Amino acid sequence: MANGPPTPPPTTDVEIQDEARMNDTLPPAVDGTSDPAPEATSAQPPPQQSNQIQDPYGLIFPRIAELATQKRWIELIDIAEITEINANNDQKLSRLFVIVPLVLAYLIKNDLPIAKLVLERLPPDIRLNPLIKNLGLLTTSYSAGAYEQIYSNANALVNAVAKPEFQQPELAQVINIMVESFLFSFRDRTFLLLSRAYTSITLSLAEMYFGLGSSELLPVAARHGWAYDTSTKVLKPVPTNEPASFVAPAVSSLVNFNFIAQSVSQLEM
Amino acid sequence: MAPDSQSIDGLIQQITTSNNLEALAHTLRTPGASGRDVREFILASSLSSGQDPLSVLDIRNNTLGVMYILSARLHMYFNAQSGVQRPLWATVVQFCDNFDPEQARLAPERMIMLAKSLTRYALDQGNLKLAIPLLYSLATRLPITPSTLTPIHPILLLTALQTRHITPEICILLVENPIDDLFMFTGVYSEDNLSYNDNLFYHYLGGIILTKMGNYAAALDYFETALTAPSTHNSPPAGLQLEALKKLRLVQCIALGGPQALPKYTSPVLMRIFKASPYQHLINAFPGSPHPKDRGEGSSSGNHRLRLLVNKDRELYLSECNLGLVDLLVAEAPKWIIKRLTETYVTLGLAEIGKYIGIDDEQQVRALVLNMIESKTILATISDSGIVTFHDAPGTVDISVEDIRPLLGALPTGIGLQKVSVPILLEAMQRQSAHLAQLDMETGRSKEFISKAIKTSGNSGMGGPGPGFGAGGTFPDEDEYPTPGMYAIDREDTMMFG
Repeated sequence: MANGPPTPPPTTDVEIQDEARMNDTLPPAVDGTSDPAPEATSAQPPPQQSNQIQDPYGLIFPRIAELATQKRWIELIDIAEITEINANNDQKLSRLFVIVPLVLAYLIKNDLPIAKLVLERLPPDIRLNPLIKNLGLLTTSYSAGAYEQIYSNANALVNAVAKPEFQQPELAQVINIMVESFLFSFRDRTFLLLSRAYTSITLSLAEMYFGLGSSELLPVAARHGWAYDTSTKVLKPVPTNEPASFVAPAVSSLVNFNFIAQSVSQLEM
Repeated sequence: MAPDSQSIDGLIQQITTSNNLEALAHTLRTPGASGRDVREFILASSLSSGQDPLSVLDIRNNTLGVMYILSARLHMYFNAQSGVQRPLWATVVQFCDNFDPEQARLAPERMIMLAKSLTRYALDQGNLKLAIPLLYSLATRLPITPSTLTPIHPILLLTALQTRHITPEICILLVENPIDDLFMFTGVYSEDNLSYNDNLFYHYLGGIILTKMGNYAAALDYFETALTAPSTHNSPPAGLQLEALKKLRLVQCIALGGPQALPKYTSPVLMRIFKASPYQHLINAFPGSPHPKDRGEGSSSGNHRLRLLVNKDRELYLSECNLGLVDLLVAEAPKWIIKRLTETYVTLGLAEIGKYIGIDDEQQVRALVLNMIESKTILATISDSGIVTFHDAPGTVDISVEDIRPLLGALPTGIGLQKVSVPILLEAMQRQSAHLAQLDMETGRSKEFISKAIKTSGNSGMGGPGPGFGAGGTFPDEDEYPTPGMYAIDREDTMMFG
């Protein structure tokens, strides 16, 4: 077990101990199947005393956690990006403290390309980390629009950090909050999309799109005015934006004609 | 006694006490009798008291002086290694954040020198990406507008791509500040001036970054700029331009469905070389490309043909770093087949769509169609029985305010956006122009106007102009009579002489 730092500043006490634990005994294989991963990451040398105190990722994490609780995503992204670009040694595993919330924040804001680019920044050994792998799967499935997988990957992420072996409870809490926000905003967007795209949709298909059972789905649908036919189990979405683009404007065509003829004659003058 | 420009103490004294910036710039720039190299050495040395000259200078007020010293020291440290004391990283960071752009513009070549040493210094510090925010600050604040190209811009993009660390600021810079001006200056060292290659690199790398961000419209603009940059007479186009052309074509297929016409001033040599490459066959096989012969009968076989072509030249695409784009192209091809179907069909079942695009799995087809509806590539609705109904856009495509906003860039404050349909806009415009015509007629009728018009025209023939003719500026010659047909309706009597 690493030595505790001599006189750490009180606010980051917990973080430094967490970080020490992280660097020495990396998060164990959270999905149980990725045995090669621990070997790869256990090659990390134990940190020196000074590194622990200067670790920018650990130091900024309390602020990130605070912003996550308040759901201030844009500020979270700003702070995380500043930390990312100014951090000298970015091979450290504590970088996860910043990367995971950053990627989740981009997903919540539906900024998919840059979420992918952030994951691409990571060096290979961090990429093997199981937490990052889970996050990567979520991002990939989101990018592909594979609804079922999005929900299952989100759940896998939450389950992974809920296990007792995962030793960063603060990070776990932030992840829980953010995944929940992500699912909320994602379902919202899905709702708008389906209202636009479907004239009628079977209940089972809708359950797949929302990752919710019918008992949770039907009340929400009803609240938005969707009609439900119990016999055929079909939902009828109501388009939420004006159907102006579907319907020709209700103007008399003769009036239009006069209008156009008049403007043309004026052009002639 | 002339101020002493031959020692560091003397220079520092001038820098801190000078009131005239231009004179100071001139003094600093001209090495005088001792020559350029000695001057650099002097700039890089410590004060006679042993103190670091940077500690007595203020970054903002003495930007010019600090710039000279920093650039000299960094340049000498990394190139000559002659025992020059390297400035602290923190000092460099502070400088880049706080320098006064107006002073810096008096000696831009020193700034370029500084920028070029930054990447070396960042590497020394342990990580190349540390240079990115510094380069960004220099590139955007040095010229008068951020849309001006400096030699620092390509260095910034290259560093970002090399470190794989693309920041949101860079993306915003590329999208909202396309280059419309050049930062020209004559530097002492000619390699610091803005060169043809800077333009080429910046737009090529910018196109790559924008493609990675998924902003295809902007990426196409950048690639086109890179590839149509004029080369000197008789010299062949640059190899980089050919690469830009390849990427341009690939992105055109992905984003627009097929190759678009290139500007007339594109080099014909480039077009010839491209036509002979496997990329041309790939483009031709893409649905949406205007070569029906190569597309093959039946779009599903066309898709198959596309995959065959890709596999044939896979190694080539990989070695030219285009494999990612090519794979994306193959994945997007079915969408353009569907887009063509919308021109023929009003409704079509998911299974039938699947037959057209060669995908059996109905779920996959459904996902594809949903994706196209989401990105507003097509306007359609799906029913629960799996029938897709394609809708026409009657002049008003369902573009929301949010879609337009990124295109407009930064709006001045206080201007809001409102969605308005075309007929209403047309009506408003016509009301305005009718109103203007009315005003014009009234002006023409007014007594003051006519009297003025006669006065200024002297003996010339024209009287008060009518609607559609502006204020009495130019009048035809004496001999010209207005032809009867020109004035349509009853107006004031024209007075004609002659």
